[in-house]
Amino acid sequence: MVHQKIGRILEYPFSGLIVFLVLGLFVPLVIPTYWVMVVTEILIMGLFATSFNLLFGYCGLLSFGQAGFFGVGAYVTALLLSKGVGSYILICIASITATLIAAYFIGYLCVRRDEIFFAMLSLGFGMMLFTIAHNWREVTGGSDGLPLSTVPPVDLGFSKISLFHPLHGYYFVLAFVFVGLCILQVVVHSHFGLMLKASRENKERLAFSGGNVASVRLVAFLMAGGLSGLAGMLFCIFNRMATPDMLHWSFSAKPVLMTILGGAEVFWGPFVGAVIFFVLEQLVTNITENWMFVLGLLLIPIVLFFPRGILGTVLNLMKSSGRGSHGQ
Amino acid sequence: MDTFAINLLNGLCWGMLLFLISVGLTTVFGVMGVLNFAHGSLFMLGAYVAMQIMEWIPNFWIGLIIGPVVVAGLGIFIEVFLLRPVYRRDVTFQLLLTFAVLLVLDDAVRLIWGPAYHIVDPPPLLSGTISFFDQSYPLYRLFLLCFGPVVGLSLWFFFQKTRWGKVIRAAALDREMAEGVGIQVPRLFTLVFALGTWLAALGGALSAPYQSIGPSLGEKIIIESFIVVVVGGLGSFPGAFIGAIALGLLESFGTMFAGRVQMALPYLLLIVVLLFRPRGIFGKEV
Amino acid sequence: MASENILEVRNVTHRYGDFIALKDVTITVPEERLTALIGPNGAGKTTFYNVVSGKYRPSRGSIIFNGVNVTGYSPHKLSLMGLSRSFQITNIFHELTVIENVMIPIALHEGKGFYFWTKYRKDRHLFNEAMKVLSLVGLEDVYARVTRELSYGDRRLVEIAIVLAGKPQLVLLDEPTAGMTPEETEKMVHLIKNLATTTETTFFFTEHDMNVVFSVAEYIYVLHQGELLAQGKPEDIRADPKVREAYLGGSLDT
Repeated sequence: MVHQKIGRILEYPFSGLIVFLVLGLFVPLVIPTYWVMVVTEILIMGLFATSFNLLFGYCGLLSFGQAGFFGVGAYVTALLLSKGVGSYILICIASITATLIAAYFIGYLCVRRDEIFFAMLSLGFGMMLFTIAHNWREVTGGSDGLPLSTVPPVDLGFSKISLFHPLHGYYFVLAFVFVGLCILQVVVHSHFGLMLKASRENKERLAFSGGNVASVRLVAFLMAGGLSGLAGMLFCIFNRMATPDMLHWSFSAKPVLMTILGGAEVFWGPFVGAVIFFVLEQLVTNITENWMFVLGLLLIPIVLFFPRGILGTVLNLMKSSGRGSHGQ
Repeated sequence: MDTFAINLLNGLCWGMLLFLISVGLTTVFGVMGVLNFAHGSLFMLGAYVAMQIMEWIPNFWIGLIIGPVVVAGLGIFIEVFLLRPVYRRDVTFQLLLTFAVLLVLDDAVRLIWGPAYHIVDPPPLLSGTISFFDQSYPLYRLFLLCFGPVVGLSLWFFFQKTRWGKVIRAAALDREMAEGVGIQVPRLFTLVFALGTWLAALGGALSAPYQSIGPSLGEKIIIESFIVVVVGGLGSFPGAFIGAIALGLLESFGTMFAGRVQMALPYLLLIVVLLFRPRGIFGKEV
Repeated sequence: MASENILEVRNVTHRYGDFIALKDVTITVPEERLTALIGPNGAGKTTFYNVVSGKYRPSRGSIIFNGVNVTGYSPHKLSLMGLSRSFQITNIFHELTVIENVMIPIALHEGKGFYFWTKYRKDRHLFNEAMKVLSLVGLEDVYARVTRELSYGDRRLVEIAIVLAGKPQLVLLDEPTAGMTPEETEKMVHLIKNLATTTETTFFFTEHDMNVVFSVAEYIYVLHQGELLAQGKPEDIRADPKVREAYLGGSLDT
């Protein structure tokens, strides 16, 4: 009896993916084109933030250099497209592979540090990647970045679909983001996911239980890096360019802010944070240019009073009220 | 040889400003355990407020004295209302909270003074150049070169020789013990944060005639001062000095020798030091 | 010769800077025995455990576990080889559930640490193994609770469960009854005795409560100021004047 109940509750996270897919498929059909573009960006940044949170929420590692990997994905995409590569599968594999190589070297050196030192080291490496993108003009186009002269259509075999149509672009992005979120969702519930939580809770105990903390963290770093690279690839295609500011630390701060908004303790927190971030940005920038001011004012009370974030707090309230009524 | 001397002076000069900012950052971390992301914004605010005061009362020195005090007042507000509730939380949360403060301050500056760059003239006494080695060198920069060590030495004197300085160091080592002997730690923390803010703002006010003031100043300076304090060793006073001078020289000579790679040098320094001495040059190894 | 001693610590010295925490300590622990390590505060007991369990590399000397020289091995490697330990200050996963605390070492010892696509909560085998371990320490009823919510004594038991979960050959228990009420202490003593007879695990423990030591241990080592002061059966140690001296005026009988 108890097992069945627990089992059913444990199934719950995957219903999140179903809700995501249903909303993702139908919402763009009923909103104006401009908002389709906004939602496309939300999808990309949501994937970016969720992959960042694999490190922050699940391993307790605050990465302030995640934009570096995002940027590697974007630049590899821009370079391949400018060289005339038309296969998105190939571009996807190449972007992720390049990102994984960068993440392996950086991760190997970062994962042995904790807290502030991890944050500072990842920031340093992220900014190294930024300076490469900014200064290696021959390859990266310097501070102007690499614009895409063309975006080839997607070849589905039976027909070719142009990505210039906002809805087509949207569904293209949705497909990749959905796969990325599925991977993350499965991983956090896996045996390995349990090790991630263990490394966050008490890395000493994990080591004395037979776990190699550095390896566990490195694998998480690679996953987060690779999926950030995937998000970067999508961002590059969506924006038709790769620019150095995609690698800057202030860009790395975006997934951090989204995660704090939504909540780091729940899987969907960063994604909900991304939704709130962009919707608020749209509303606020209608009134004032000083969007960061408003965001900062919003974040302060969240950090002070709702450290679980908006989604985390809501879920927590639902859970405790549910428990209360059952307890009678 | 001449360019070498000029680069040396420029590097030391920038190093002195970096030192003023970093010493506040590292003191706040050493005593309170908070790494203040908004420190660079307080530096920038120092520059803007001093500039504003100089506009109202056209005297450089009055701006230099009053500006940092005004910003330190804001520092007290931040400490009492925002930081106090999060001391017991994870270091990461403190970093995030001060990051939110950074967002607010940076945009507030843009809101009040606009996105354009401003230029502040050095005081008449220090304007103009002095020539040596067949080169002319701005007098104001030489002033900065002398002023940095003066501030550094007075701070050192304060921490080593005065009662208050000793109390602060005791509280940094062992908060409970300090409370046990009757030190009011919360008030002390407010004071230390105000001191850190004042130092940042003083650095900002001093830098006003040195570089143009713009709303992205804080963002640039905070990363550099992070590098300084992490390289020197978080919480270390001599570390901040050595780190600041090293970074200042690295940047001025980097432009000369390293060309395009120059931009990467500070990060390279940070990475190399963190890999080989994880707690920084003057940090205590665990 | 296959060693009958599961642990041999040979001439181990450990320094922190100028301070010598352990000086030329040689200790052997035979298989399937309850061995105790005692000594006044600051004698170097915890340092000794930290060196043996791989937290620190000894400045000099060697550690032979099961016939293999494991000096300088990392804690996770030693754990996988069958050497497990508890800590004086409860060292568990406080925000996870009781069963997750135990699932972690079991999964690691079964080589499932890097299973990415399998849900650990659907792992029937893992669940059953974890429940078996929990029933050893009597925590099977609270398996779904978050560990933080348990009583202090129960949290200590969670640590014992974690330590036992990987089916270790040798368990180092650092002050298992530290901070416990008399009832909790009695329960713990009973448990350790019971585990030592029912499982094939060897226990090597430190303890400040002399009643516990003399009622449980079959063989005792005494550490004093980083050096081995005496060793022998409980009755010999109780009678040893040097040991009495070290504990200041013979408080051994309390």
